[in-house]
Amino acid sequence: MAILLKSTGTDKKTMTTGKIITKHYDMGDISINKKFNRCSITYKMDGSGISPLAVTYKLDERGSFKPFTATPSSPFSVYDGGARLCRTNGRIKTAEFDFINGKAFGKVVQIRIMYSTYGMSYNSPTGIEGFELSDITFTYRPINRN
Amino acid sequence: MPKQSKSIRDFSGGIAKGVDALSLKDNQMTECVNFIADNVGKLVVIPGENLASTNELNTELPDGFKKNIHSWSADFNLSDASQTNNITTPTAVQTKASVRANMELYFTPFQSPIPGSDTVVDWSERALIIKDADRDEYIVNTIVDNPWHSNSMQGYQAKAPKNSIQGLTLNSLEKMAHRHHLESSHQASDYQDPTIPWTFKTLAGGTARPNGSNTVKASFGPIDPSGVFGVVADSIPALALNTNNSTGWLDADKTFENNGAVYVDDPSESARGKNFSYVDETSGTTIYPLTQRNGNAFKIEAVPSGGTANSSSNTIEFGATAFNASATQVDPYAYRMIIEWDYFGKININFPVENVTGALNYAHGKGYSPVGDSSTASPKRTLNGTTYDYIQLAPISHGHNFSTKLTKDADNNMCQESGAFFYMMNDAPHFGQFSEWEYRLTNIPRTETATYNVSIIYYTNVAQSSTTTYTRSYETLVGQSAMDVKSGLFYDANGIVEGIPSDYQVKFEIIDDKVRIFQDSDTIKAYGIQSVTATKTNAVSLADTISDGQRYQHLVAITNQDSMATVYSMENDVWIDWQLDLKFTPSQWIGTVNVANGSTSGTYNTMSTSGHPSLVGKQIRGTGIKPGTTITAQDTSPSPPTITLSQASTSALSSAKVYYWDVSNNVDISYMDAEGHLFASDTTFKGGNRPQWFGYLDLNHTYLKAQFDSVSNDYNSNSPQVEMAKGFNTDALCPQPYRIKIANSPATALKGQDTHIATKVDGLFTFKDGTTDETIIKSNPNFSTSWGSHPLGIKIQYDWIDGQDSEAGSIMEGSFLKKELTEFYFSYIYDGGYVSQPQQFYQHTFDAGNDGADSTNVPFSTAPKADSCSLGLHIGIGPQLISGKGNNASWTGLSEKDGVLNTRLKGVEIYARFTNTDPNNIYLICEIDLNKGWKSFATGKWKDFTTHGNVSHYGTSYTNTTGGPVTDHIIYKAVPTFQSFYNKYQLAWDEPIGFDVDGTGWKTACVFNRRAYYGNVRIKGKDNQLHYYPDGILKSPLGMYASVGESNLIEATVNDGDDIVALRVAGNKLCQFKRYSLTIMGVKTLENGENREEIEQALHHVGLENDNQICDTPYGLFWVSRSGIHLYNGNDFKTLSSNPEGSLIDKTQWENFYGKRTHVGYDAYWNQVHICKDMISNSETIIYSFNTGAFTEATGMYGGERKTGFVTDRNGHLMWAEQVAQGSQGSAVAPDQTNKPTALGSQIQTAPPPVGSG
Repeated sequence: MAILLKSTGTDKKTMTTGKIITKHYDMGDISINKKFNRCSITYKMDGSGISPLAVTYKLDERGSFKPFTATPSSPFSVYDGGARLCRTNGRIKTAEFDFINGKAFGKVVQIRIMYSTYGMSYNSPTGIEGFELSDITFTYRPINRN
Repeated sequence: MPKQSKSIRDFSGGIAKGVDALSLKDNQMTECVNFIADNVGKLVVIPGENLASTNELNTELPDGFKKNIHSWSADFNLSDASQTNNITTPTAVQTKASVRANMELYFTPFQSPIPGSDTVVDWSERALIIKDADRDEYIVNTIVDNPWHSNSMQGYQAKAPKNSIQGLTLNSLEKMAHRHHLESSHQASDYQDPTIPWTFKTLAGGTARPNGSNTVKASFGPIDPSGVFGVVADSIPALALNTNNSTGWLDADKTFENNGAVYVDDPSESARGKNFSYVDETSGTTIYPLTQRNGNAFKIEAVPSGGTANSSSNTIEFGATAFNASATQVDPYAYRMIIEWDYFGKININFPVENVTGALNYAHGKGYSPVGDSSTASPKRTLNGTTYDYIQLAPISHGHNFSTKLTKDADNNMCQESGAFFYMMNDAPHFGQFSEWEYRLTNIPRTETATYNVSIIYYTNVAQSSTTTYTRSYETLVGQSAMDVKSGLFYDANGIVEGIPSDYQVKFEIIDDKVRIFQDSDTIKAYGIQSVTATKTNAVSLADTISDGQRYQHLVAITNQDSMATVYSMENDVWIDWQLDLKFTPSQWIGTVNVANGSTSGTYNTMSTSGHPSLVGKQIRGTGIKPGTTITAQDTSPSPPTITLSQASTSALSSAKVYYWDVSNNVDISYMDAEGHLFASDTTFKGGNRPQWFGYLDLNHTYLKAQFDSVSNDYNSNSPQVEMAKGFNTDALCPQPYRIKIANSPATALKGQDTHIATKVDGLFTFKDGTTDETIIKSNPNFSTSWGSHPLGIKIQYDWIDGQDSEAGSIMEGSFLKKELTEFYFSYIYDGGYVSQPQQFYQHTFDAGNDGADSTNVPFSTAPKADSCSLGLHIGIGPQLISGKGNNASWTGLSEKDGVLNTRLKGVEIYARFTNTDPNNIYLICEIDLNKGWKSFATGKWKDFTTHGNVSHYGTSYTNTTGGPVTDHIIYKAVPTFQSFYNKYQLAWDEPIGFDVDGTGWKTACVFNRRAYYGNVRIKGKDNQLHYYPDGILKSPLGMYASVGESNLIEATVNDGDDIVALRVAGNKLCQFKRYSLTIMGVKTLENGENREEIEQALHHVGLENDNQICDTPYGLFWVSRSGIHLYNGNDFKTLSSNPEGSLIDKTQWENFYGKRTHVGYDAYWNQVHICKDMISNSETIIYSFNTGAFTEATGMYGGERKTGFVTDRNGHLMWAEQVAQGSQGSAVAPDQTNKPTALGSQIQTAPPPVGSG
């Protein structure tokens, strides 16, 4: 055996695993039913192409996390074995994801952004470099109060 | 109700586990793994890891749970020229070629139902989309008309819908992109506008434009159709997934281009157009695409998941929308080609989605749309303050033909004026060559000055035929680092190199050991960087002349196996090639062996023990054995048993004693440093181990610059006496003065004498010429051969100037009385702050029996024979007080570990006990400093030693002929009670001092206010027995860090079922951590300079398991305990893991996380504390950011087989040692236990015992 000295660097880690699970956002009033339409994620990431960062959501703590639909007009949201974020060449971009149409009713919503190559067909470099998450925005419509 | 939106822009709360996810604040997260909230509003990736040492050290880490690593700084240089290291000269390399970009081209073989309705599939056009993959931007997004179509133009000559695309040459694509393909058609002149600044070059670096036979690098693999276009359908299988014409497309083992097979897709089976054959309309024959197109260099492949058969959920991005769900031709597909080609210049072409009539378009609105302008009539786009109109170039009735016309816009950029296309500027208007260079400089010699230069040559035209050079230089000073050079060369604000015109601006980014130098889309004319040149000139090495104050080293000590440690220099990136060995007496020897010189095989002469465990694989050491040698085989069945070594011996081993590295000797070591010196202690107090010292010594400057290592000190033809001039050395932390009874063989005049004796010399001081004039006192030391000092000893010649004995009548008036029985003592003072317990000088009585061996040396006391007299002293020290050649095993009282005798000796203090005046104390009567000379209260200032030709010793005053004033001599007229030993060191003179025997040491230590505090100690007590004080703290005198004794033991809390784990300082508080409690003691400095510790606060349930669980931060002490994560800054105590306003660590999670091997370290660069769950294959890390006060989790960090705790390196980063398989990195540095820091190999075992002068 041998000994090596290592140190942390000034670079960020090239990430091949990881996840973020947010709190349950109730949009200020948990008693209101809402129809969730869209989730916009503003972020940046090095490189180009599809990243393994899959974006899923859960409403009212029901079941497992579900994949979004990649919004067609959003250049940085992609569906490839799940809704995913595209790499942005280090520039701040916004990816938009649609909740599954007609089924996105709930009072609270939780988002998960997770490194997962499962189901990916895109032959992308797998490491995540330079990721920064700036904000998550939900578009929803209050429906009624139970 | 209207739609509403909610944005979460702050994640600075970090993780808050153990709380209902509904109850969290918006900035808190349920889970956050490998991301960290490091700034308000941002969540970023955690820091990465780097290798710190170029070479690996051939040893192992102990499997304990303590820190076992320590970093400190010293003013001296630790280097080893034999090791490769990361000290480099600067280099510059191109990391990204200047004329290449990745483009993605998308093609559809069929087109959407334009111009017809959605219900009519019109296979009229194909789509062409070109994407700059580097920038993830689509620069061309249009369609190409299909010449099959009856209304098509004739520009595109291919006759087949698919193979006309498949296998296209770059030239063809270029034509498509440039519309050059229309050159031969009508309106050809429109496409020959020379202002189009988009030129392709061959990738081979030539200047020829590509043509149909050029080889172009292209990728061919599964591709993503939806970098922009997010396709969910999967009806178009991937190429590789289908094997034949009946079920799919291509054989997985074949490629489209180079396979001789013809792929036939039966249209009747699946009329999705995915066959690679087609029927030529004109001839009616089936045509198959040719293989081996373009030298197999250019390929187009199918986009998997290009569409769906389900019209209700069709999200096809290319091709047609299904006109009904059952249609057979509903799934048009697309090809994408990824190609690298050369381009430069300014491209202003962008064909956004055509949507002028509101009709559905082929791409379903997936192209560019004017941002903020949804108008389809006259959309506008404003970029950089300029508004561009989207121009409907041709009536929609034109369909989508290339009936285009070029013109120029306001920026003189090419525009398309006709046809159903729009144009606009790109978001990032300038495409460039974006070459990138790296200026690399890892480490520089700190002991030299030099000029570092960098030249950047950048292109100033698009053709790359003209360049401009920009040069900078930076002159280093002694002691500067590579980072100083990098930040000295690249210092500009905003990371843009000033001095280069903004049109060609060059950016830089300093990252660890390199600087990125590049152009990007912010550069208006990014024509590329031709070269970067890095040079170093005017280098002047000052290694031998710089002062101590200009030298410094950041050193790291790492615990090895077998109770040893190794030191590493961060500046020089070298391991010291010997080890600090805490084993005072070598153990675990395998026996004696016989191995011929240069051989790997030999025999056992003796074995240490019968049936000892197999030693195969173990490292061994011994004279003649190469470092890193292991036993590869041994056989005890023959007689004698045989042994095989992994490396040939370097000399013949004849009954040579060989030791092995024994894991049973593995121990955790506690380190402490003070004033550049390292102190190391076995925390298990293993028998045979004792604390070690490591530091820098310069033995060239002792005895008034008389060099020990020179021939001038050729005493008794035994030169040189000391082989080490200057360098790092190791020694017992608390050495004992070398004191022996001089042997009778070889015969010397001193035989039978103790090395430290006091002898009465009658008439030592007399008045000159029979007067009582105290200005002409003669000193008359006896310099006969038997009265000189032993070379390794001290001899006091004393006399009471009482008018008795031979100096009768010459009494010097004083206050000494006949009842003042007086004893003389000596104490050695060592570098590193150790004073040995005073030992009494002996009185020697010669006995000729056994040739002098029967002589006696016994403690004694002396008194004047008359009252009111004075005491005179002449003190001589031997010229070899520091002596030795490395291996002194043959010298009396020494082990082979003693490289040099009295290695760190820097002075001697002579004391006397005046039993009538004060029998409880000894008082200083003379100080000896090996550099300064000698001093006493009787003489005042430092004086030089005198020498005498007859004997080889350095003495105090010698004025036997001329005489001198009484103040020239050590003559005390009164009892010198100016300074007692206790007053000087706060230690009892008659009790053991320091960790001077095996089995002693400490478990934790710290330095505060130039005093050392040792906690949980084992030390020899007043009764000379070892005592263990798990609750005890030993405090050293000011600056005398290794000088502690039972007499200054502090016990803040005792008998509490607990023991001290760590001592740390926060503010002016000494913090005593036990397993279950923290006791905070205020340290007050009294008027007399002493420190006094008073308990101020006791906190329970916040203790530590070991000293690896606490670290110093600018915010105070940070530590983890079973009860959570805590911070104490000397005033306030906080539990960070239960912050209701921020991050929370769930108790259950913490219980699963926290353990004995949990350890922490502070990264000053990132301002984070990393908390590792384990030291062995760590699986989980919790990171605390001081920037936000948030915790996050990480996996995959510090997951090596085994690691030490953390220290902070010279740049503020966390540093640790990790155990790896041999051969993982660089060269293997094999520590050599036989390589004494003071010895040369050839001289080992050859030095005879020192002898006195005869």
